[in-house]
Amino acid sequence: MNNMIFRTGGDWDSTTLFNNNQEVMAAQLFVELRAGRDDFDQPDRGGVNNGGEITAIVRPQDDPEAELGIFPGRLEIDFPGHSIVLENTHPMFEFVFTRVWYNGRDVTNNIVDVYVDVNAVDNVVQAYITLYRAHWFGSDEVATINIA
Amino acid sequence: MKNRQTSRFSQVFKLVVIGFLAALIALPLTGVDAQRRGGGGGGSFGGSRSGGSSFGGSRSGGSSFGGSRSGSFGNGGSTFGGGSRSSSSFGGSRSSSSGGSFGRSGSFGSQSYSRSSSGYPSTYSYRGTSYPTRYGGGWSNYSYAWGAPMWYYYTPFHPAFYYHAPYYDNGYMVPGGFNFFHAILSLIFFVVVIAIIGKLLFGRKGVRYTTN
Repeated sequence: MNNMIFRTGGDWDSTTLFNNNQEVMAAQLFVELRAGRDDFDQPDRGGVNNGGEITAIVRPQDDPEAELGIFPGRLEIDFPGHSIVLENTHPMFEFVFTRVWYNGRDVTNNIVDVYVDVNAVDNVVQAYITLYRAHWFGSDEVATINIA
Repeated sequence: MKNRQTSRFSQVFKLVVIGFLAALIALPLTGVDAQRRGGGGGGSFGGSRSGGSSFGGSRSGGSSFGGSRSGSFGNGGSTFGGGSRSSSSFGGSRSSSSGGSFGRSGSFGSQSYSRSSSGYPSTYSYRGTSYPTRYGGGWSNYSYAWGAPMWYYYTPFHPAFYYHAPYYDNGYMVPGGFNFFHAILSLIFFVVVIAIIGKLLFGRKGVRYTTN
């Protein structure tokens, strides 16, 4: 079972990726989770319980064409000021067993999107998380938080 | 554009319905009507628990009106005139209420409070003591639950909550009048409650997208 920790201080020198306490020399970390959508693919409350899909791979530096799956396992992503943890330890990688924390808060039931693309080869870093925030009064909110 | 107008109309309609329901629940319409019509004074004072205890009940009524609560007025003028204590009690009220009011109303047979010709009590009894009353007119004439414990006036959503408590002024008890502030508070409260129930039952309101 993988237990990956990605950390960055905001530049390439401070960017590391560990798996089970061993550093992984990676060309790309790519995570895309889509959940919390209704039948018309519009954001909705419910998060992971609504079903969805997740792609989480690492491309090793020595073989950038290869894709190493992260799940089942746990992935911790630390950007300055932001922390995302994704976990799915189900042996068959059933999507509804995915859990998500953002900055320590469990957002499993109101997650809409997680997108993380750290590509050292193409010098691309992009990350955001989208949460569905239901409000008692006023309109519900689909909040996209840009991380990088 | 048409859809938008329909949506706005629907929202206004919902607000109106919520407001109406809240007003229906919050405002003691029957109490106000009863007191406003004067004849309803019997309903307000004789009929209600608090009024019954203070005006028709044994505690205050018995002491104020000279003994037998039920038999005195039911038997007409004989008991009424005979009882010395009752005459003294009624002596004070007669000046403001006039004998005509007693004559015209047969309903006093079972009730033992005094009432002026205007339909309002001419004496106010509280904890065994009777006070003459005075009215300022208009909204201030109304004070629900005369003789009720003071905390009734501060207990949501007892009917007395919508009135100021009577107060003592130069030897007279004066009704506090309608309490608009409490009425508005109640209205807001019930609007919120109904909105919450509506939200729970009828669900969703649209979504807005934000980016941080």
